[in-house]
Amino acid sequence: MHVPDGILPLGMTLGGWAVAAGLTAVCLNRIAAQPDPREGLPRASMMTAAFFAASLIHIPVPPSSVHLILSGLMGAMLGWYAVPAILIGLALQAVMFGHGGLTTLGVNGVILGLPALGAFALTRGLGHVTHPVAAALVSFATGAGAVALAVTLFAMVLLAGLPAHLDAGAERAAIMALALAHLPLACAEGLIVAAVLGFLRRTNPEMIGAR
Amino acid sequence: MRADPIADPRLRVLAVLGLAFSFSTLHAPVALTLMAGLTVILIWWSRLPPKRLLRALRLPGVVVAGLVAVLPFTSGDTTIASLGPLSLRAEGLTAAAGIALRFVAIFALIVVFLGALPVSHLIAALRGLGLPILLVDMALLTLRHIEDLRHDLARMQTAMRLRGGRGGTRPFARFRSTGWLLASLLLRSHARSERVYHAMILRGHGATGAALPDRMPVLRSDKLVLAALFGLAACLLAVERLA
Repeated sequence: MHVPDGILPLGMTLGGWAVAAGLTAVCLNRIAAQPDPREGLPRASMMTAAFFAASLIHIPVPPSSVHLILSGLMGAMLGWYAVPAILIGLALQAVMFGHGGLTTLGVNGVILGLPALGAFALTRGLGHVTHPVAAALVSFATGAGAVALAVTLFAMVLLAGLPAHLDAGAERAAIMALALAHLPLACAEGLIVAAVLGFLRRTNPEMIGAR
Repeated sequence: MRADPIADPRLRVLAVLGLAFSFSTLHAPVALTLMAGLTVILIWWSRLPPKRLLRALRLPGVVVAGLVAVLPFTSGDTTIASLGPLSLRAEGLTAAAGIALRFVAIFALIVVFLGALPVSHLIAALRGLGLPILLVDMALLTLRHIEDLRHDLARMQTAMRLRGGRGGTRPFARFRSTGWLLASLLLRSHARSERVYHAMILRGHGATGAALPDRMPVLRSDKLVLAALFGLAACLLAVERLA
């Protein structure tokens, strides 16, 4: 779910960089206000590497297979570190594999970073839930909701940024097709994030306590 | 043997960003043609084998190819040909050609300027350009963990298959087993990343008063090449404005 170079106009790419820089500055300020800002670095870098390698984990969703995005899991586990971590992961993917883009790095960071912050807010707001079923539902919403929000932002950016205007019918059809195509991915990622967070809650609960 | 147009990694980053953003604004056919010409000259100058560029383009190109294939049939009003129920439209065709050209040109810039640069040097260059130290540390540690994590993931996936752990027949069991696999991987990697980072701190990483690396002076020739490239980018923007 990366917007490549060459598609979006200059205003959108520069705007994306500006918003991403603003989000990163806010996150870095919040991190700097913590008692030990470097405490979360090892976890953040480990999760960035996992985000980078997420494309290697294929989930069978008939008739094809999809790969994980993990922005919801990053938000739940990293908190304020999630946006810088996602930007670093995207930059490394762009330089090492050409996946995504350089001019679109900011836009892609916002598309995946905002859902991560949403997941962080959800986890922080409802993280105290102790009933196993309710906790699993919150975890599912964290993973699936982040994918759904990322797909929505991706579709909006792509349709707003295309150089030639699509007609209204084609636009609606494109949005519907994109949403339907990603619905199985949202459900699959929701289930997997629920399993991951459930496992960590039982074995190492402090790993989920993002601040 | 490759020849880098600019030796200094910091200036390479500036060159690729400046050119990429200027390329992304071009739409006029004459400006796009000049952009393609400049890209070919840079590829020739860097002695980058075209086969390598094409190989690198294969995977990221798929995403753009999908969009480029759809646009001529869904965008615009001027029909120039009909293929059964589909009508090929001029505006969509022009937009698709522009997208494809810009994408390939910017991709080539990345390969020409940053392709041969070790990622650790690139991170050091970004630090030199003012990237916050927290992001630099995070990027360097990420780089350290990527290969370990990939190796662990492959080993754990193989072990899971050998145990017959494909998730069974229960609904959603496959997702659960994948989730548990990922959680085990994160647990192991987390313990290792903590160990590595604490060892780095014990060796003096980030300590107050630690020796700072010497600032490498920028070569005059690099400055001239960067200025020339920015001048060419400005010319492309002027052509786009006048076209």
